[in-house]
Amino acid sequence: MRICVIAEGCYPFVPGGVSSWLQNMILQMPQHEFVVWAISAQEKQRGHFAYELPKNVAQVVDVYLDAMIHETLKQNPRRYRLTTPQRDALQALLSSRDPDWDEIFRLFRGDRLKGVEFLVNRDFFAILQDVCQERYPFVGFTDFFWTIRSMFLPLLYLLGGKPPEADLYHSVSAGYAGVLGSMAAQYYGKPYVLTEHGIYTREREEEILRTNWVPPHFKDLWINMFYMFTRCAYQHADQVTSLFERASLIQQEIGCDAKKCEVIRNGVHAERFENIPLKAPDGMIDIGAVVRIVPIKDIKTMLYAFSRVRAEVPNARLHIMGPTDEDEEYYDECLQLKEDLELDTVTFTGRVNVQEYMKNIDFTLLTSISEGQPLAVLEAMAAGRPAVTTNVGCCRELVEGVDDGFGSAGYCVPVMHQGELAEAMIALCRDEDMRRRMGENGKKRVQALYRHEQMITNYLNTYQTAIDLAQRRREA
Amino acid sequence: MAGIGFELRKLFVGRGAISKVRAYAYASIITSGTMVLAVVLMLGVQLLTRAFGATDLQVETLVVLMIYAMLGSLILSSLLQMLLSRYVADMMYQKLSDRIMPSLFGGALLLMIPGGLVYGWFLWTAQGITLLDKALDWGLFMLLVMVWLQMAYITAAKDYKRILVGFAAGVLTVFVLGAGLLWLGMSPITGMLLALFMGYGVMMVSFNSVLLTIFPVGTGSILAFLEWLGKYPDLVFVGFFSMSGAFVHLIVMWFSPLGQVVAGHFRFAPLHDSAAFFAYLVAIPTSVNFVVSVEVNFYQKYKMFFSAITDGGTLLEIRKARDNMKKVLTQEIFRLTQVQVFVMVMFTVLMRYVLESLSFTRDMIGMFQIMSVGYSAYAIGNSMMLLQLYFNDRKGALMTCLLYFSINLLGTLWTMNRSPLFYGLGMTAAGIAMYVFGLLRLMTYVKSIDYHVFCGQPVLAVSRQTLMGSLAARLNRRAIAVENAHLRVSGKGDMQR
Repeated sequence: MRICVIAEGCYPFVPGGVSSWLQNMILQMPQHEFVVWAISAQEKQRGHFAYELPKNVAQVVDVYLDAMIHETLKQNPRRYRLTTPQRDALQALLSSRDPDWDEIFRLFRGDRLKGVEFLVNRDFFAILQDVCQERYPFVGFTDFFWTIRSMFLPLLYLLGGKPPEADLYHSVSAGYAGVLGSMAAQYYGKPYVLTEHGIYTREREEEILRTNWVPPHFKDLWINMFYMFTRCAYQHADQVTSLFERASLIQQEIGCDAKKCEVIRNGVHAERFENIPLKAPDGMIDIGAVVRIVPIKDIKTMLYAFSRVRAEVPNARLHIMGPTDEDEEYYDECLQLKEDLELDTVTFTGRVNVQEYMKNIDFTLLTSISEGQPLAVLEAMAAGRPAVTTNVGCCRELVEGVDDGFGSAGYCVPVMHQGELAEAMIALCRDEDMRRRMGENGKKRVQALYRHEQMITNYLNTYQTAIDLAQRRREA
Repeated sequence: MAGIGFELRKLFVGRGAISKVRAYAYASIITSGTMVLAVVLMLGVQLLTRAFGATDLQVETLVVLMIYAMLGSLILSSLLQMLLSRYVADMMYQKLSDRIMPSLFGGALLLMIPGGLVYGWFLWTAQGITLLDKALDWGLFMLLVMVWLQMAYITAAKDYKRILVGFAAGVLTVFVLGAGLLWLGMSPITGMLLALFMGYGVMMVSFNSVLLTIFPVGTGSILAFLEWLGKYPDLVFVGFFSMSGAFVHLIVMWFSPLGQVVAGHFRFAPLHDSAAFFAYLVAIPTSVNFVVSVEVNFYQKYKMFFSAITDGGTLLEIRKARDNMKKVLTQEIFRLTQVQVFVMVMFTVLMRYVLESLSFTRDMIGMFQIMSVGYSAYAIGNSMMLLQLYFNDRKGALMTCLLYFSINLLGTLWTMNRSPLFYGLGMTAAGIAMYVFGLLRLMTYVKSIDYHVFCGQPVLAVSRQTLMGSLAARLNRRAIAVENAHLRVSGKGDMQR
């Protein structure tokens, strides 16, 4: 089978969680052939692959949104009149109110310039005025005009591209990738699978709310557009997966049909970790944190919390394992804080071989502000080490389980809560028995629920379900 | 996490600059101001030389030499006037005033070299004119090219007053110096050509000093403006057709039964020419009206409309400003037409007596009256064309003046060998067509002006790479390198680098 994977801003150019996952999955499915349809922001990324492409990747179709800057509009853009359904669809699109997507796909398909020309079209201007009058009568029209134009230009540009042919379309996020997946699947009448590894819409929303280059009164425009994109993908997808229950509920809240939703947990190669022996007692308690030194991991709270642990448990040591070069300013601040708190037993190890280092660790720690389903926690659990984590993403599900009978594998505490973090660590430091017990619980849970082979099988089943559904749809 | 999200949003232009171009009013000054000046000079020169006892042939030769130098230089400079005005306006808008003066010299050079060669050959072939007179006429031609271009620059800076002062000084010089030279016994042709040369020389020097108080001497290639030729090639044609349209019937009529050869290729049609020159005066009220009233009243609303767009006006505010502007525009056009019609009637009736006293024949008066109607329509039609340019409707402007030019040309060709009763009908039909078409086009365009303003903006900030554009950029880099050459020689350049 030929599977077209649609990746936005990640594989194969940018390394990261989703990219590694995808690389791994392609490697584990040698029986299938893959086409990677990669959407990137900048053309300078062309050819700079972060991964060695597996043999079963037949083709990489790359589009760069900044490439449209080089597209020149013909001196006289073609004028075309829209039919009433087309006009209605576009009006809904520009006001981010779930348009008749099929109408829009048909209109712009296979014609790059048509989308750009639409933005100088009389109908476009009339629709825009209607939308502005109806919904933003007190907003500066010129700003509104340019905002709408730059919001929809990338979409129209992407819709004009010809989708690569495949037997199944699979986008690894919603957003632009989700719309393209919907478009391609509709174009060729093929099944479409959406796998979300976070919640795209929520992430965009947070990003937009934080940013200061979008004026406050236009933020809802942007946010609504991304929600619309996501709903488009939910509407067209045959199967929609998420990593954990709560994420699945959010998908349904946004508008995904519960029947399409499925939870597929991440998997780890448990066999690589399960034979690492527990650390022999040496009079010290070693805590490990496998994290990149960046603000989102909240290393500072980690240091404060550990300084409380030190006050009670003088023989505790903290090993922070992970690259320090991503945000050097933040790293320097962390070093300074370590000195100020006189934490001579904290070590920044830099990049290390986690499997090797795990031998010297008693339990692990994660203080992140945001996570999906962190691999670091899964690997530590696979190695039989308990974990102290903040309650983000599905960490609670990992640590405490959802009525799976395995028992607790550590502690899950509120985000940025130094006191509870410290208490949890102290408890683990003082009770070797509990460490062993919780470690065992975690190991069993990972072996049962988070196996890599299981994950691959689940995705293959999802593909099959989608194919069956599409088949039935065609027959109906 | 996957997703481009928004880092890429920075790729896009937030909003395009909407430049307000107000440079085009100059055109009305140039076409009518210079014509009035020419008519005044032509009449004055004839009266003055006859008073000093010049023969008919001498007067005719002098008039023909003047007409050719003036029409030739006007048509030649019209090729670049609009374009340079636009360039000046854009440079002023971008606060790059040091790029302005070089373009004047570049433009003059570009026109003078081929223009001087052609006109020189033209004079060379004319027999019966002395070499000195030929040289003076050639000098006058070259000088005029420069003066017309200068006027585009001064008017782009909206300095009408100083133009009038320059005009006055020039005219005064012509008559005082001319009278003096003739009194000293110089040949009327040579004396008057010298006086004209000096008079326009005074104008050029005074314009130049005015320009240097407005703009710095400047840096960069004198041909950097060629980039604008790539951007707005249509302005070359608009300039050319609007200017030559006003004269093409004169040139055609030189070959009619009324035409006669003076010397070499120099022809004229004295009966028709005089009638046309007098008729042209009827356009003065509209030219003045346009600059002092239409442009001023309309421009206020025009500015308000554009500031509603650029300064964050809501849709409602923009629409209100647009409707206000449309209202004032309609009012002003109506008033312009009203005044012109009134003046036209008075002028055609009353001037008859003046012309009779100047011994005009009945045929000439008939031509004069027909052409008065024609030039009246032309004056308003031309204002419509200028207003189209205010809204950056260059296509409309080009169609409007091309229509005028072609109907005038074809109509005059059709009437030239018919009864004198038909003379002038071609240009009158052209004027009326220009007026009607120009008005309709302007009104339809303005009706959806907000669409044109917004959707006329490129979707992306694309700078179209054109041959002219890259040539101009290369020339400019070279010029700057040459200017900095002394730095390199003294070694400072290396340190800077």
